Amino acid sequence: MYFKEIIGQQAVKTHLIKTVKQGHVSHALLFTGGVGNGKLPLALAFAGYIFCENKSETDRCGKCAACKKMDVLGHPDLHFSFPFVKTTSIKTCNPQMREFISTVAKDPYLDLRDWELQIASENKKSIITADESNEIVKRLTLKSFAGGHKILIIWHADKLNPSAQNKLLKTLEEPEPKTLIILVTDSAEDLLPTINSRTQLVQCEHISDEVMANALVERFDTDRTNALNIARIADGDYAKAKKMVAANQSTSKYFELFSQWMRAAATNDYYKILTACDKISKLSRDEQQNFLEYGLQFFHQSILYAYVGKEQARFDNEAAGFAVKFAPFMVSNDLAGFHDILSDGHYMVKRNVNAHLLFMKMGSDMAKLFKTRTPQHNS
Amino acid sequence: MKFIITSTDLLKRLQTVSGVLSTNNTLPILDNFLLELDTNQLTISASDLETTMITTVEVKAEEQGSIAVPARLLLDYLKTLPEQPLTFTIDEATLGVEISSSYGKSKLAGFTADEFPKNPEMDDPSSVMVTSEVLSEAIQKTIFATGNDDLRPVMSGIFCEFSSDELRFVATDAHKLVRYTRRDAKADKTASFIVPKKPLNLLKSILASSTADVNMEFDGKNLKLSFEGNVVIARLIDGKYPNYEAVIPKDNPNRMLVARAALLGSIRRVSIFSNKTTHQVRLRISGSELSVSAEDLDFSNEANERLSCSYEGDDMEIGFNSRFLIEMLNNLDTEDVELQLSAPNRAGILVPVNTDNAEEDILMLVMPVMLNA
Repeated sequence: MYFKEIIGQQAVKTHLIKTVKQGHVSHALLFTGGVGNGKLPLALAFAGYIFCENKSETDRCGKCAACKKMDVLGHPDLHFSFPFVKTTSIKTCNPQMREFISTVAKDPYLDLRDWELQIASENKKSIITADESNEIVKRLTLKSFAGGHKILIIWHADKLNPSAQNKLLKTLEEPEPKTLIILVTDSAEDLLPTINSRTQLVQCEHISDEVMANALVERFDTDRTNALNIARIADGDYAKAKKMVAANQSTSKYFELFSQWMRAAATNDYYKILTACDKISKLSRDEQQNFLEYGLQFFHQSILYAYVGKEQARFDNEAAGFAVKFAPFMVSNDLAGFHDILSDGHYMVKRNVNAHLLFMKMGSDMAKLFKTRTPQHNS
Repeated sequence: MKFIITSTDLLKRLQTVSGVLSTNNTLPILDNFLLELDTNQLTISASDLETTMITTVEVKAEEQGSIAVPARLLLDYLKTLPEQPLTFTIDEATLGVEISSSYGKSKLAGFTADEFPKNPEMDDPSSVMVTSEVLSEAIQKTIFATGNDDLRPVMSGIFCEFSSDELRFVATDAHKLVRYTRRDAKADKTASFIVPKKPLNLLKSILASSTADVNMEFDGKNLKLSFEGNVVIARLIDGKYPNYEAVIPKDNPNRMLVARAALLGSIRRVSIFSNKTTHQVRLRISGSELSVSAEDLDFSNEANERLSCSYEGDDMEIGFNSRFLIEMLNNLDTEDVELQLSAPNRAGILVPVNTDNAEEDILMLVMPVMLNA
């Protein structure tokens, strides 16, 4: 990974390069910011820049021995730790280290859910265990191989469970000289305050729609309008945008189900609600969560559409057609009601509530809300 | 490139270096042997990043070149062959390796040698020449006392403290400590470093069958040992070793001289009846009699044995973990040992008496356990 391959993040890049040039690299950094905005690629590029024997003002050289090894993420002083699904035989990252490295080398904008799906069955949640924390300490035990820095990147550090975090405190506070620990997380607030206070925060920016669309046009075979559409929906998440470009219809599946479900609820047709629920409950639990997130997003955009105007809403063309009819329903005092139904549902899916029962109840709750509403046009 | 070598010769060399191969390497290239040919000299390397081992062997060849070859495949194949000359033909462009034996041909695919991590050149190393006997003795006597605690990695290795007067090797796990000093080997300047267990265990087995002199070279990061065409490079442990001298009690008025084998036998027998979690044995010394006892209240097991000893000091009673005592007594060779004590809550020191080697100084320390009155 090179700095030049990273989408956006110009300010962070400049800052990181400056710290290296001035020799002020902190021993523990916490890369945080929105989902999918390229924190791991930044961490990799930064590590590569530190290792490089012949660095320029803006990037690593790509020619020295260290850079050759970084191209395949095979530098002996680069260590990783990442969430994995714990089983009786897998207690640390080690068994999956190679798979992780080759996956990340191929696609540094890796999404946690995709990684979970790759390593285990879809309903399993991944964590970083206390055993892995012990491994981390062990990995950093020896002096660096090449004689320079040794760098550990913990991907999705928020997945460290509390006892694993506590085991890292001593190492984070005072590692041996020339040791750099980079924690990468979407949600720094999920980390213990004792971890937060031991690290230097590097806030990664949100990728703007413009920059994202440019990157999509450059890297994929897609036209600018479509790229901009996708960038709007992805909302700064490059991993998601890339997937949407690749699949070209992943949200359209959710859209179809969601519009069907909403139409059924709005017309108070319980047979149709039941049919929609049958389809939704066939999705995997992760997909159901995604689906509900999509629904919440749709509500949010509809409100924007109704109140602010359609230019501000992030809809693709297909959804915009539905939103014309749907958005007026959102102009109501009972917005909170719709929102609560979906977000409670999201919570319950997480807690393994029976999907069919849950979606049926949500459908009927919404039907009740729709009944008390008549569409209002905001003029 | 092309070379000819006898199968058993190659197998022997490969098996020596294969000790460092590890099953869960993070880098795929580390599952390979690195073969480097430089007219008649074939250098074979294996590494797990922690330890690198290199050996050189004479072969029939005229060219130069290098390649990385899958280790398991090559080892498994060579094990099945009776002694015979093998011809290796390597195409460095396609990385194909062809092995011709008297039975036929086999082919396998190698990797480019550039991918194999190279140990950096040592940065202004200091060096010491020691005999393999000194080194293997030092490892043998200390390695059992190293710790396994992940949270204190510095204690999982052997601390080497070299000076212009003596070489000192220290190992401790916070319950027991061994300090092994040799005055018959000296370094040109003062240096100290911590060597991890894995390369030392490897060396222990290789050095056992060797009589050669070992050249130890070290800088702040690596330790390099060269002997008989073999080179072992170990990465050192990063960190500061605890100040072990501070825990060795200086003033020990109570001294007991006892036959080592008799004491070891007694503790072995008695410890069987001790509590299975604490392994506690009680030493009661009065006059010239030592009584060793243990009890397990949960199962009403108890044992008591008496030994004669020569003792100067006040009568005392002290408890130890029997497993530590057994390990330590096992690692001493003298007929008699001296146990130096000060108080029941202070560490006990075990030293050999009348050693054959005047240049050797061994001190073993063991922490006592609380005896409930």
